[in-house]
Amino acid sequence: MSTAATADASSSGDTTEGSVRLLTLQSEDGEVFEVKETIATQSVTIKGMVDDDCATSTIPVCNVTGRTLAMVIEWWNKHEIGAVSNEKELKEWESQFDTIDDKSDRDDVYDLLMAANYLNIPTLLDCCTSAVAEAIKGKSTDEMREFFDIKSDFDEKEEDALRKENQWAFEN
Amino acid sequence: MLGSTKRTKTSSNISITISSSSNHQSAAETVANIDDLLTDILLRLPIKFLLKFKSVSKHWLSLITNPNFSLRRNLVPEPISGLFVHGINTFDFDYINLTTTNPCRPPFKSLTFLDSKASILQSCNGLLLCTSCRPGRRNERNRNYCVYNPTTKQYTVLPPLPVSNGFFRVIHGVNLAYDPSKSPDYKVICVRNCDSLQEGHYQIEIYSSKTGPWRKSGGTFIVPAGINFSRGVFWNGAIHWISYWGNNSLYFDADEEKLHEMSMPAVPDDYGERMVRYFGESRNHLHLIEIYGPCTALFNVYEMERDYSGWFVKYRVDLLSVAAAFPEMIRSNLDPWNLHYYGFSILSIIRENKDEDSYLVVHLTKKAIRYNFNEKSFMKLHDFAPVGSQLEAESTLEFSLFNAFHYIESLGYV
Repeated sequence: MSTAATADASSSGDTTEGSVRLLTLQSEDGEVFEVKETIATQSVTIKGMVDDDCATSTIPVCNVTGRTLAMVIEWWNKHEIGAVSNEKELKEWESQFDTIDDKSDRDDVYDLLMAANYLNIPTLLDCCTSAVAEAIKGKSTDEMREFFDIKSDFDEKEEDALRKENQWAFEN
Repeated sequence: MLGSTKRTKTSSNISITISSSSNHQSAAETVANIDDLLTDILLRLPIKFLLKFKSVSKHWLSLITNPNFSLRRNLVPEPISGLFVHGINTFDFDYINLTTTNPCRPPFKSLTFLDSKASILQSCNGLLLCTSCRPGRRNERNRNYCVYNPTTKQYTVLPPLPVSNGFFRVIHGVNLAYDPSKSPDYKVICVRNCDSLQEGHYQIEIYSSKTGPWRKSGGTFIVPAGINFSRGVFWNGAIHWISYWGNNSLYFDADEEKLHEMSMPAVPDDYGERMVRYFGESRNHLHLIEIYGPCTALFNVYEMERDYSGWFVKYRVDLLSVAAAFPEMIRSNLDPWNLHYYGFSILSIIRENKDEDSYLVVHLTKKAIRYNFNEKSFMKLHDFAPVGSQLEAESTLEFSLFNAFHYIESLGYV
C-alpha cells in the first residue's frame, strides 16, 4: 500500500471555490487539515455535526493520527460524488487494499478501519472489512490468533470438542 | 457503527472521542475488540471458515453462534452447493457437487439418528427434515422425525406426535418451514387425520423450535381430492402441496397459520392426472414442470407469481440436443410419442444470482447433466456409481422423481 497521500490541506484558503465551505479537522497528533465540506460529509459523523451546525470551529478527531487522517482524506477525494474519476483508475487504487499480508500494510488497513468506524464512512468501512476478510480466508485458527493478537481462552478439551464438531471445516 | 463513537460538546469546539480504544493495544487487537467491526469482517467469510474460527476464542464462538449473526448472514441467499440424491431401495445418498470454485467432500453418505438409518423428506434453506423408524418397529407410530443441519452436523429429534384416545391418527405429510432471513426459528408442519377419523377430514399440527411441543393449529378441514401432502415445498413463508387432479392446490402460511388455495395450470383434456415432473423452490422462486406429449424432451418451466396471481412460463427447455449427445437416453423399444420415450428425471432447478446462469440438473442413466436455460448448453456434472443388479434394464434410472435435495451451507441452529 502506498503511504499517506498529500491531503487536501493545500486547498486551505482557496477562495476560488466560491461557496464551498471548508472544515478544519485536527488529528490526534495535532495535524490540521482543511477539507471541503462536501467531501468530509462522506463521514456520517461529520455530516451529523454539519447538519446540527456544530462544525463551525476546528473538529478534533481524537485517536486518528495525521497519517491515517491523510489517508482518509485521500479516500474522500477519490470517492467524491460527481468527481471526475476514472472507474478503472479508482479500481486500481482500491486494489492496493487487496493484498495486506505485509505487516505494515495490515496496520494501515486496521488504522483506516478504525478511522472509518469512528467517523462512520460506509464506503471505506466496506472496503477495509472486505480486505481483512480476504486476508484471513485461508488462515488456520492459530494464524488467526496471531493475526488479531488473541489468546485462546479454551482449555484443551473444549477446543478438541469444537474441532471434532466442525471437523470438515478443518480438512484440506 | 456510531455505538463506539461519542460526540461530545465542549465549551470551545466539538470533538470526536473514542471510548473503546486505549493506546497500549495494537491496532489488530483493537479491531478484534470492537464487536461491530469484527462481525462485519466475519460476515464476509464462507461458512467453512466460520466453523473453523469458532475455536479461536470464547468471544469469537459467541459472536459466530449468535442467532443475530446467522440472521444477518442470511440476508443474501446462500448458494446451493450440491444435491443429495436418494437411491431407490437404499439408505445411501449420492452427492452431486454443484460448485465449481470450491468443491467439498460429500457431507455424508448416509444418515443415522437414534441407531436407525434415516431418509430425507425435505431440504429447506439449509436444514434437512429427516425421518427414520425405530429398529424392528416399522410402523408409522414408531417413526422419528428429525431436523438436521448437515453443515454443523447438529440435529434435533422431534418429540413423538401425540396420540389421542388411544388412536394414532394417520400422517399424510410432514414438512419443514424455515426462512433464516426472517427468523432463526423453524416450524414443522404435520398433516394428519382428524380425531373423528372422518374420511377426507384433516388436521394440522405444528412443532415450533421456539415454543416446543406439538400443538393443533386451526380446526379440521376438508381436503380437495388429489392433494399430495408428502412432498411439500416451502416458499414465500408457506408450505405448498400440489393437487394431482384438481385445478387448485393448497398452501399453508406458516406465520399466520392459515390455509389458502393456489391455482394450477389446466390438465390437458386427454390426461386423467397432472404429469408433474418437478416441483421445487430455488432462490425464492417456486417452480413447476409438467410434461405431456407429444415430445417429452420439449417442455416449459413454470414459475409462480409472488402474489399467487398465476403461473408463467419462465424457461423453455429443449433436451433433444442432450438426447443426440447421449443416445442411451432414448428408449428405442417404445414409440416416440410415449411419455417415457426419453428416459430422464429432473433432479433440480438451480437459480443463480444472475438469471442467465440458472440451470437444470437432469438425471440420465448413470449420470447427471447440467443444462443452462439461457444458452441451452449442457455438460456432464456427475457419474453415479454403478448399482448393478438393481437396474432392470440399461435405460432404468437410478433415482426417481423428487429424490434430490439441496445442500445449502448454513449456520442455522437446530
